[in-house]
This record gives sequence, structure tokens and C-alpha cells, in this order.
Amino acid sequence: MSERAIDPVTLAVVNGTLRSVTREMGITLDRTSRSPVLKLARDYSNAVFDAGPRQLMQGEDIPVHLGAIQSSTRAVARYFEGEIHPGDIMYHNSPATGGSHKPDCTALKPVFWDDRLFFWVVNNAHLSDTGGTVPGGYNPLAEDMYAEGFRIPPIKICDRGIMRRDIVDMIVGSVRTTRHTRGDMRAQIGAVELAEKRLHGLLRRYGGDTVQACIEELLRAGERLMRREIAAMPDGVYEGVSWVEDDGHGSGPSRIRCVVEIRGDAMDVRMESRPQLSSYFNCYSAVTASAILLGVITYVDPSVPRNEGAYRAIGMDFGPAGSMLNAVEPAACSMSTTTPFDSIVEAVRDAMSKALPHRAVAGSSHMCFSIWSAPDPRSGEVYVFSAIPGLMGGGGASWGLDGWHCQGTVATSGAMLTGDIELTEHEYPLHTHFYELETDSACPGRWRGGLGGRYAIEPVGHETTMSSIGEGVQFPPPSLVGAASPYDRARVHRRWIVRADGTREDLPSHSLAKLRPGDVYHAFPPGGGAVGDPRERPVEAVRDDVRNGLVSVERAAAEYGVAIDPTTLEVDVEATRRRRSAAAGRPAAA
Amino acid sequence: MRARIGIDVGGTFTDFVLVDGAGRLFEAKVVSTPGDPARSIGEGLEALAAQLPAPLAELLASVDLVVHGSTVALNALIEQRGARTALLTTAGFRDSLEIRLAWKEKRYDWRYPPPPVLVPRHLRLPIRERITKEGEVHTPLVEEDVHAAAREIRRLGVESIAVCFLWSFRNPAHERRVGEILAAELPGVYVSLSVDVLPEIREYDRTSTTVVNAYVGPILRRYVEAIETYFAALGYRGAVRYQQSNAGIASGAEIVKKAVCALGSGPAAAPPAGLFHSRRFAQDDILTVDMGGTSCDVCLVRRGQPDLAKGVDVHRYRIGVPMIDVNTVGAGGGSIAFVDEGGILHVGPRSAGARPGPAGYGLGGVEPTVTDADIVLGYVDASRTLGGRIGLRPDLARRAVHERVAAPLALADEVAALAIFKIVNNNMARAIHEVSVERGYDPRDFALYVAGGCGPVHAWMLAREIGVERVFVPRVAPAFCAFGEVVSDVRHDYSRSVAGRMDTIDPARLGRLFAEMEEEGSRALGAEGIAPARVEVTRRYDIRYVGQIYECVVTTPRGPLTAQSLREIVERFHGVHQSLYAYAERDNLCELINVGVSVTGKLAPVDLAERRAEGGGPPAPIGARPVYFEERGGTVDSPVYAGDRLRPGQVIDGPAVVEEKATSIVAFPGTRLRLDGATYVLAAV
Repeated sequence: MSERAIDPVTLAVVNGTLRSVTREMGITLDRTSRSPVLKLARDYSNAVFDAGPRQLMQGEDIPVHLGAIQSSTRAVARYFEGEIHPGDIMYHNSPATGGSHKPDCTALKPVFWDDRLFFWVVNNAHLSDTGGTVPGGYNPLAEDMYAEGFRIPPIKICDRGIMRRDIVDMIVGSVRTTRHTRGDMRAQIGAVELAEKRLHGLLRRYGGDTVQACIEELLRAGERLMRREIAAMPDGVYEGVSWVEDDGHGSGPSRIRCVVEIRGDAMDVRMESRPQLSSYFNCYSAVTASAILLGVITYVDPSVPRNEGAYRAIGMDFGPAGSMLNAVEPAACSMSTTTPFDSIVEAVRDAMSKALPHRAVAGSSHMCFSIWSAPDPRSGEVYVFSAIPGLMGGGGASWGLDGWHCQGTVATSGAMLTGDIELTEHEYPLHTHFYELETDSACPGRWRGGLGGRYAIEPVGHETTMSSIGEGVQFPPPSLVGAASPYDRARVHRRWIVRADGTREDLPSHSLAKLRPGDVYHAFPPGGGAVGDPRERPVEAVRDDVRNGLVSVERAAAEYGVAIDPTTLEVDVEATRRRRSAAAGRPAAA
Repeated sequence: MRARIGIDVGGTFTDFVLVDGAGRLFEAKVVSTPGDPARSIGEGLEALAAQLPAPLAELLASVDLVVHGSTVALNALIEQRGARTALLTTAGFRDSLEIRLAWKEKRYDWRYPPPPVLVPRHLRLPIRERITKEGEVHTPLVEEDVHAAAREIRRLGVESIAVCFLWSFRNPAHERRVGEILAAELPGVYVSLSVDVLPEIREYDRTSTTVVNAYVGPILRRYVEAIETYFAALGYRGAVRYQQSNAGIASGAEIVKKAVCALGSGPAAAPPAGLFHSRRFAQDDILTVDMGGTSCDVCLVRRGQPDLAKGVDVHRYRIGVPMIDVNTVGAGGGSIAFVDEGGILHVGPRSAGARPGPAGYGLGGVEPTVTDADIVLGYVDASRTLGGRIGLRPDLARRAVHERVAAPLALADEVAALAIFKIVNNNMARAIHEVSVERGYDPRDFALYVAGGCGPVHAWMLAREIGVERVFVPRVAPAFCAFGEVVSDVRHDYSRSVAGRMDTIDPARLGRLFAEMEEEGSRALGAEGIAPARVEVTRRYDIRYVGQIYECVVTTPRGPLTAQSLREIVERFHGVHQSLYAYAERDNLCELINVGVSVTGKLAPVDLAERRAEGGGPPAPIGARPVYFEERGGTVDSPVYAGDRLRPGQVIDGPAVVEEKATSIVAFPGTRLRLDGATYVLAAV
């Protein structure tokens, strides 16, 4: 069917229905799921594919699955080729076959029409636990993927309408959080079933041929829009660099290099990294692809659709098989969706910022968190708790806008919620001592980073095990286009325990600890990176930040060159002029 | 019944409805005067009196109830013109208002700013105190902190204070004591305690709601004082009531205390207006669609009760008190049609607003809107003047459609206009889908009521879009909410947090909570002149499976509580969960988070006088005009009728157009239109 023959009304309806299908799957997961990573961190993605499977629509969900949901769906479709039936529901989590990391479990339902496969409806959800040595699935001691809990290759949990009770029981029986995980799997199944119902409604109304013609046009439109965006970017070869910190197994810092080549209406992104590590910091290609796409679309109009057509214009090379960003079995990878994900995005953004400085977006705080687990003294049931407020550092600034406070890693980009303190205390045997913004935690710039937080909690009536995971403890989030990320204790993650006897115990990353009542866990996630020279930040904006306690009087003078009277909080105009003009000859970077 | 007046103040127009003692209905529409609302109210009242005709004083002497809907609270929030507000929080938790649970609405837009925080950080003052989740005092209230805060507040010229402490709903002693100290130290300053506004678990929702209440409270208080003074000066002796977000009305004294409940004042009157009309047809499951100039408001009503939502974001500010669940989409007469760079046609959500308005208004607009498409298609009378001032310019409407849509897509002008017409209908249908299908209801089981100035043009095709063969268009469509205001009952909502498992909760404890709320409600209604016999009570349970963070709602009438009745409520919860999310977990534990009570004071029902039936004969058209119908493959010369000359029982077969004072009802080919009481019914032949 030619482009001309498609009725614009039908096209709009098909597009709108695909969008509302992904949205509706998200609502079901949002409102009915149990795992904190799912219900609060909202660590899920929803998408619709055609029979291909080519991705037609991805929900406004978390970016870390941008590429992974495509590669998982392709792997599952390939595996079951010839055995795909109406009423099937597939399930999958294996990084070796297109998955991201094991906690991300994908439910897929083939949708049939006129006896042929027409759509795949897919959702990817991070579940509480994957079994294995360490609660929550992030094992800092793992040297290979076998130490990270169970692996689910492409399987069917529902075969021609019959639920595979045995298979579901095997999965939920392998994890600590059996009841919650069963509830989460039901939510995933509910979501794909709703999606199938809606798509059948669409097909009933317009017929398969018309819907197929619209799909082709939507993919073409996605490609046209993406190519137009790229064509408007200056041609050239741009290089970006970023760093990943030590993995706890003595890796030392790892360098990531990215080369972006823009030619006409297409671009190529090439990644280089060291050989894969014997720790959980490796990336299989699905996660690397997600990170590259996120880095690129940062510089693209947000209205460009995120479908397979749009991605046709972007070539990707992950580096040689067996390198850190293109890992092969049996590499461990449980941290990959945040580390090195965050650093990959930063390398791509760094390269892109050289082509388009006025669209620059600085780095967000990296992922560094703790997972608590113990039997709840009130019920005896084991809980697995992610201390989310303690990991939510500031978002990166963008050209023209300060960063958002407490956004957490760029891998979730604002999808993750901290949760209400009261709901957390209601659900878990914990007491919160404080949760606020932390002064001076953001990197200074014409547009400063969002602030990080200060957070302290204590177990009530029981002893608990805590694993400390992640990175962002050595390097502050990177700043761009004339701003620097001055190293400072408040600009990296800090964590310690104040024991009941008053002694303070600093917590290294990649470690395990125990807490009893009276022991208080403290976490200070850092602020985000900045954009632009801080001495160009309007004096009034600096003064407002000081008045609001976001920036101290000392830092206002030292980093922004703005002199403020500590008692009246008024600006000393003359001293400010002197400071800012004296600094004008020096580079901004500290 | 004595006469009633409904006054609905909108951004552009203020609508008036009068139902007189004989049940006759009068309408008026005047241009709003936001700086001086009394002026537009005066003009509208004069316009009503002129229709009787009678002097204004005589009209007011016959009225016992004036109900007022106003966007004053909402506009103060949207335009950031609320009171200078301070917030007192538990020390160590000063920033929940600004952190917003870390929620960012658009995560793929890196240049999307957070909403302005209503209380800047230096006005958020920490107070040392802490209550535990059990309601015990962990850290006693440090009163010196409160005195220091009061001094700071006086120094900074703050007009309003919100107080929200952690777990205060479990033990309100600290908040209450702070309220006493502030009242003594800062007389005249508006103080909002979270335990009064929203005594429920979730400190972010509670803080945000209390802050919004404090932020709009003083503005609303001044407004209500001005309205009451104005009516008193006119010698009016009856009651003045205000429309609330919960679709009920309340006295000035009540709404000023809970100003946040006035945010939805206006659109929330659509369900009562719809229910009034649907009574005649014995329907209590209805959908109302109010399509105005900039947007379209959709509400779903089941069993005569509109859906209420809690925890929604109103212009990005979290509101925890129940509001009529109005689904607003950018699908109005002013919604702009455009072809994107990928060659795809979109309609809205951007709107041409009142200025410049649609291109066809001739006020400088060049982008084609839905109204322009309607003009090109002949659905809107091009000889109409709007508000007696604006003459339509069909040439400009056509030019906009041609240049921005028809030419880029290589379509004929009428075909392009029809595409715009259909896409906006589809957008509205999707909004209906969101409140029905996405919540487990089939829209075809609901009677569709379409209103607003633009709705009657689109009514039939919207009905087709959602698969129904019949649609209802009230004659009062252009003043639908003003009418809804005069037929609303008095209503108040209360809630308490429970947070306990359904299988272990003590029915007697629940009974005490309900009794407490019902008592509070009866007192408020009593002060508003409602006799006890006219009070109705609905109870509400917010339940979820253990481990979830959102609840489903089950409502029941008042009645004795036993372990058995709680089990029945659990069973109903499973059913609600199944219909919403396609599954239920009968093997899982349920917990009750909040309970609530709605008390309704029923007012005497309004009855409209019927038009006299006329003996025999089909109606005579007053003219004809060319109208585009796809079914006929082009433009057809179609008869035009005057709505005010139609008699009950007369039928008109499409294609035809019926002109009302401020709107047009389009009867498409294959449809039959009939006036039934105060409602046009359009149905497939």
C-alpha cells in the first residue's frame, strides 16, 4: 500500500491506541505491583512490537530498557519460532539472550489476528529478588553470572491459555520474596492481557491490512523525524570519555571512550572499553545499546517517536566481544543497568556536547545504594528493602535549566520515586531520623546540578543484614561546557553507620554489614553535574540559593564569585564585582 | 420550590442559569471581569431579570439559593498568585514539598523544569518534634521553635501558614498545640493544620494538600467575603453556596476552611447536571462530555455517583482530598490542528484560547482550529455572532484550514476539515476510554451526555466513535455547569487513616471512626440548614493487597459493622481489583489504609416546566445552508431549525441543523432528533 493511500485519521487512531496500550500496561504495574524496585523505583518498561518483531511504541518508562526490551523480544521470538500460539505468555531474564540483568524479568504475549501473529506486547519489570547469595540480586562478590541468582532463558509460563503452574512455582520458590514476586508476575500477566484485549479491539475495527499499513507508515515517520534531527546536527567526528570506579575486586578505574560520527542524516556511535571484568560491572550488549540510545536522544527533540524506524538512523558498535561493554558468558553483570550504564551515557553525552553545546546535559549522581533484608519481627516474613531516598542524588543540569533534586541515576531519569516516609515505616520495621536536601552537594555552574540528600534510618526491634553496592564514591558526576565538578566529600556518595555506642563506621562500597536497634545508617547521595561557567550564574540566583540553604555563603564566594553577608544574606556588590573580574582571566575548572 | 440561580465564572465567559418558582429556565452569558467579578455578576443578574421581565430586586426576593462556581482558587494556583505562605515541618523533614517524591513527569525531556515550589525553602521552618507510627511521642514538641517560627513569620510578612508533621494523623497533639500558639501569636493569619485538611497516611500528599490549602485559602476567603458583601448589599436574604471539587456545594464558612476543596469548582458540576437530565430516562450510569473553547472535560458516573479521585496532580501539585475525577483533554473548539514534520496530522492539545481564538473569529489567529473546521464543514452557522460582538469570518477559517492542513496533505479543504473533525472526536473518545475502559467499564453501558458550546456539533460523531447509537444533548448545554450548580446537593467528605489488615481489624474501632466522621458531617450540615432527615451517608474503604502502594475503593451505606460485613467488603475489593487490573488474588492478605465518609444534604429537587405540546405538524425550518456530510459524499443543502420553536414529540430527520442561542446541534444523515423535556435525543434511525 502506498503512503498516499493511508487515511490520516486512521493513522492517528492507530498511533494513539499503541500509545495508550503502553500507558495502560504501565498503570497496571504501577498500581498493583509489590516489589519496591517496581512500585517505587518504577523500574519497568512497556512496549508493543509487530510480528517482526520490530518495536512500534515504547512507553514513557525508564530508559534502561530502551535497547534491552528490543533484544529480549527478538531473542524470545527467535527461540520459539514455529511454536508461537495464541494464548501463550513467554518469560525471560537472561542477559546472554538479550536481557539486561537478571532482576529484570520480561513477560511477552504474542497477539494473533486472522490466525497469524500480528503483535507482541511486552513488559519488563525489575523484581525484588533473584535468589542466589545476596538478597536483591546484586552480589558484590560475584565473579560470574552463576553467582547472581537464577537465569530464565526464553520459557513459556502460559501455554495456549494454560498457566504453567509448575514453572511459576519454580520461579517464585527460588526467591526470598515468594509472595511479592508471585504478585508481581500476576501484575505483569494482567498487563499483557489488557494490552492484547485493546489491540484486538483495534484490529476488529480497522482490519489487519489497514493496521499493518499504518504500522509501516509510523515506522517511516519515526525514521523521517530522527533523520531530520540528525541532519540538523553539524557533521563531524566527536569524542567523549568517562570513567567507571573500582569494582571492589581491584579493577581500578575503567575508562570508557565513545566516538560519535555524524554524516548527513545518519550517525554512528562506537564504544571502546577494556576486557570484561570478573565482577558485576560488565554490560551485555542490550544494556550498552540502551545507554547509547539514551545518550543520543538527550540531544534530540523529545517528540521524536522511540520506535524501530527512528533507530534505523543510528549505527552502534559495542566494541569487541568480551570487552566490558560487550560482555559474553559467563560475565557477571548485575550492576550493569546503572554501572557502567551511567558512564556510557556520560561518554555519549560528552561527545554529543561537542557537536551541540547548547543542548548539553551534565551527569547525574551515580548509583550507590544499600539493600536490607531480615525476617520482619512483626510477621516473621523475610523483607527485602531498598533504601531508595539514600541513593537519590541530584540530576544533571542541562543548558538553560538547573538539575532536578534527588532524581537518582540517569538510568531511571525521574521515573524512580523515593516513597513516602510514612508508608515505608508502615511497611518495614524501620525508623527514619531525617531526609532532606544536603547543602553544597551540587556541582556549581551557570546552571547548577540538582541537590542530593541526607538520609538516616535505623532498624526497629530486630537485627538486619545490609549490602552496600555501587559506585560514585570517588568521582563526582561530570559537568559540561565550562563547568567543572570540583571533588568534594559532599559531591560523592558518603555512607556510614553510627553505632549505638556513638562510634562512626564508614562503609566502603561492595560490602556487607549488620545493624541492630540503636545503629543508625546514614547516606548522603551527591548532587548532579553542572553546565556552564558558574561565574556566569546570575547573582540573584546565587543569592536565592544561599537564602534557601542550597549553597553556603563560603561556596557562593569560592565557587560562584558572589560575596554574601552571612548575617543579612545581602549581596556585597562591590566585592562580587572584584571576585568575578579577578577570576575572569582564569579557567573555570577548579 | 423557590427560585435558584447558578453562576459559573469561567476564564472567558460567566454563565448564568435561573430556575424560577414556576420551573422556567433562563440563561445568560456575559464576558468575565476577573479583576472585579461583581461587575460581571451584576451584568448577568440584570440580563436574567430582563428576560422575566422584572426589576432585579424583585427577582432576588423570589430566590432562596444562589450557587456559585468559580475558578478563583484554581487560577491563584495556576498563575502563582496565592498568599505568601510558610510551612512548619518536623525537623529533619523540611523538603518533602520540594523533593516531590522525586517525581518527574516527562523523563525524556531534559529541558522540562520542575513546577515552582509554593513555599520556598527559607519559609519552610523545621520544628523539633516527632511522633512514631504507633502515635507515641518520640521527641516532645519544642515550643520555643514554634515561637521562633512565629517571630520569623511576622518579620517576613507571611499571610498564611501550613503545618504538617510526620504521623500527625495518628496523634494530632503537636499540630493542635502549634495551631494554638500561632493563633495566639499571629491573629488574622490563615493557619492550616494537616490533621484538619487531610488526616491520612502519606506525608507528601498531606503536606502538598495542606500547603495548597494555605496558599489559596486567604485568596478564597477574600473572594467569598466580597461575594457575600455584594449580595447583602443587593438586599438578597437567601443562601449563597459554593460549588466544590466533590460535586457538592458548601457554605462560605465551610469552603474557606477547606479552600483546597474549591480547586475543581466549576467542572465538577457537570455530573449533577447530567444526572438531572438523565433522571427522565431512568439512567444512572452516564458519561458527561463538556466540550468548551480550550478543553474537553469528561466525567463518568456510576449508579448515580460520580467517580472521585484522590492523590491526583492538579497543575502538577498533588491534591489528596477527593475530587470529581474530571478527565480534561486539550480537545476544544480552539484546539489547533497541525501537520508535523513526519507528515502526521495532530489536533491539540495546544489551543488558540480566547485570544486570538480560531482563525474564523477574525482576531488575528492564523492557525486552523476545530471551530474553523466546523465552520468549513457548515456545522457552525457562519452568520452567528459570539456574545453579540464577534462576527465569524468563514473565509479566514477556510484559508487557515487550506494553508496549514489541506495543502501540505494534498487534500480538498472539506476533506482536511473533516479529518480535523474526526481526529478531535477520536481524542475525546480516547478521553472517554481512559475513564471507562481503562477502569474496567464498557462505555456502551453508559448514556452519553454531550454539552458545552462546541459539544452539540460533535455529539453524534463522538457517539459513533465510542460505538453507541444514541446521544443526549441538553438544551442548556452551553451553560451546563451553571445549571449543574443549581441542582447540586450539599456535600462534605472526611477521612481517617487506619493502616491495618482486614482480617484482624476490630470492627468496633472502625465503627468509632465512622461515628466520629458522621458526627462531624452532621454538625456541618446542620449549620448549613439541612434537616437531619435529609442527610445521606456513604462510607468509603481504601483497600489494597499487602505490599501494594495504591488502594482500590469500596463504598457502602451506613450500617452495623461485623466481622462478616468486613469479609463482604474484602470480597467486593477482589472484584474491583479484577475489573481494574484483569486479576484478583483471593489467596492474598488485604489491608485497609484509609476510611472515609461522604455526608450529603439533599436539597429539594428542581423541576423544569415542560413546554406546551403543540397539536400536530412537523416543525418548519427557518432556512437552509450547505453542510458537508461524508455519508453523502459532499455538501448538501440542509434545513435549519430554531430550537426555541420546537415542541415536545416533534422529530427531525437528518441531515439537518438545529440552532440554539449559543450552539448548534447537527443531525447527521441517518439520524433522528427529538426534543424530550429539556434534552435533545439524537439516535440512529
